[in-house]
Amino acid sequence: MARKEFETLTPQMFYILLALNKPMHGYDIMNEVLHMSNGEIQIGAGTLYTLLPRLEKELYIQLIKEENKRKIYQITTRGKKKLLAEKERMMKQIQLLDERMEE
Amino acid sequence: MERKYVFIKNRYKYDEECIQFLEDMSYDGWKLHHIGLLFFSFVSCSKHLKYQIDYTDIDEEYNEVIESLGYTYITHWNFRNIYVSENKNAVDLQTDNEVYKQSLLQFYTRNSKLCFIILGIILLLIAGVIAYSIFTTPYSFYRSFNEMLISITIFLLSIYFFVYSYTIHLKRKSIINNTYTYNKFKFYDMISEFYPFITIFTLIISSNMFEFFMSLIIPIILFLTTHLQESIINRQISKKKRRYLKYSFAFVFVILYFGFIYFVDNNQIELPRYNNIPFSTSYPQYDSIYECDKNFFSSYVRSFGDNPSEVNYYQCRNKDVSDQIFKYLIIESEINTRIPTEEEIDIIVNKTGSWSSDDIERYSYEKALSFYKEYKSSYFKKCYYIDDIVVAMDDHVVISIIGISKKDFDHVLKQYKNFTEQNYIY
Repeated sequence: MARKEFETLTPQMFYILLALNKPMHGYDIMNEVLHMSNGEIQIGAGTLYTLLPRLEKELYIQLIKEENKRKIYQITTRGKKKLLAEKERMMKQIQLLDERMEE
Repeated sequence: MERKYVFIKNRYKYDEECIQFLEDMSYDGWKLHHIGLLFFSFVSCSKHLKYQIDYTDIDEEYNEVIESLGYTYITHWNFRNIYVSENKNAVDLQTDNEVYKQSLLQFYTRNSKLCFIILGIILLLIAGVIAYSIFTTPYSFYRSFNEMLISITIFLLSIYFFVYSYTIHLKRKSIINNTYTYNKFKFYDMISEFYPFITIFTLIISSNMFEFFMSLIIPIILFLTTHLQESIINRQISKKKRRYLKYSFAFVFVILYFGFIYFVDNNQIELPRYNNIPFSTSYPQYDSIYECDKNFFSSYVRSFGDNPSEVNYYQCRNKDVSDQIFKYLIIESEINTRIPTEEEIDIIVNKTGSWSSDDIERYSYEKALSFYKEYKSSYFKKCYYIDDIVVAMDDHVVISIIGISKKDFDHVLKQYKNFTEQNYIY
């Protein structure tokens, strides 16, 4: 059974949404994610620029303005809710892991 | 600069295989220059290069980012953009497998699967109708043979579409399960490679010579447009507008192509083979000569003339047929001049109850010819006459003229000779 897109967030999607807590354009997002994840998560330009329009279409992010032909995005309320839902999902996983490991 | 061309194998349409191949070529000292219709074109290069394949639409921002990461755009091929970097450690363009899978899945949608099934069903029905018509319509042998080949070809095409639809289904499944590789699909891809051959086969068998050559215009236009797209759109026009221009180009091409077909069909465009002289057709009632027999295997006959009852003029595709028609005209003209005896009429009346001139016994060609006189014409190789009828043949042209006196033979035959030279259709 195919997983629906954005049903769960991949680490790359997660970090992009997180980075867009502040308005920024694509290249800055790449650097911000690298910085936030201490160099662990690196987003390819192809992945990022494919994801941005799709995230915008799903209303997780919105286009704020265009500066020097660069599109600046920011997370929306719906996007923040998605991040919190993702947090909840991860917390459940962690809780389950703790319970099983204690047994 | 030294150049090298490598034939595009089907396996290179798979990203991993393509990147591996291009990087192997870079180790051998070759850098990709462009990709044509059939060949990769390489130029010599001493550096080891990193290649990336990407499905992202290019705009100026993306182009800037790509360049800042050390990549250079090479070409757009098979719905993908190909980039190269001299830095072997440059960041990959695709880093999220889920996103990459979605990019691949856009080429194998459920809708396309459904479309191919519907197309397959429609073709299957058409093949069935044609096959049915072979058994229910009294076609000549050649026509039946031709119809049968068309039916089989359309049937094969419908099977192809069903297989293609199934391939889309399997590919979707494989992409989702991360098992999408060339080796898994090489058999299915090989079938799809046969498609052009099936199409060409269809064109050959269902066309006469002229239509076949006309149909070659389609692959020629496709070839030219692909190269125009490659050389003008991909390389010279700004990358931002590339997609828009590509679609505009395809749209204009489709309009031009169908416009051309429409005008040819409606005789709005005068093709060089035809001329302005009105012609009517009449066909001899002779076995195995039919109007519809106009493919490679048959013997199409066309006649010209404003008054076919007095002049029968035929141009034939091959000499055997013109010989047959000549013999037919000799036999028929002889019977038109012969007055049957009373005994002959009595035999016919006893047999059928009444009589008509059509019931009179036809002589063999040799016997009928013995009633004719030969005429040495400088315009037609064979020329015979009986009463006021002259029958003449010159290779692929046969003519019979009724109501002509001997002194006018040369004058009239000369006119038809000139007419043939100006209006020869085969």
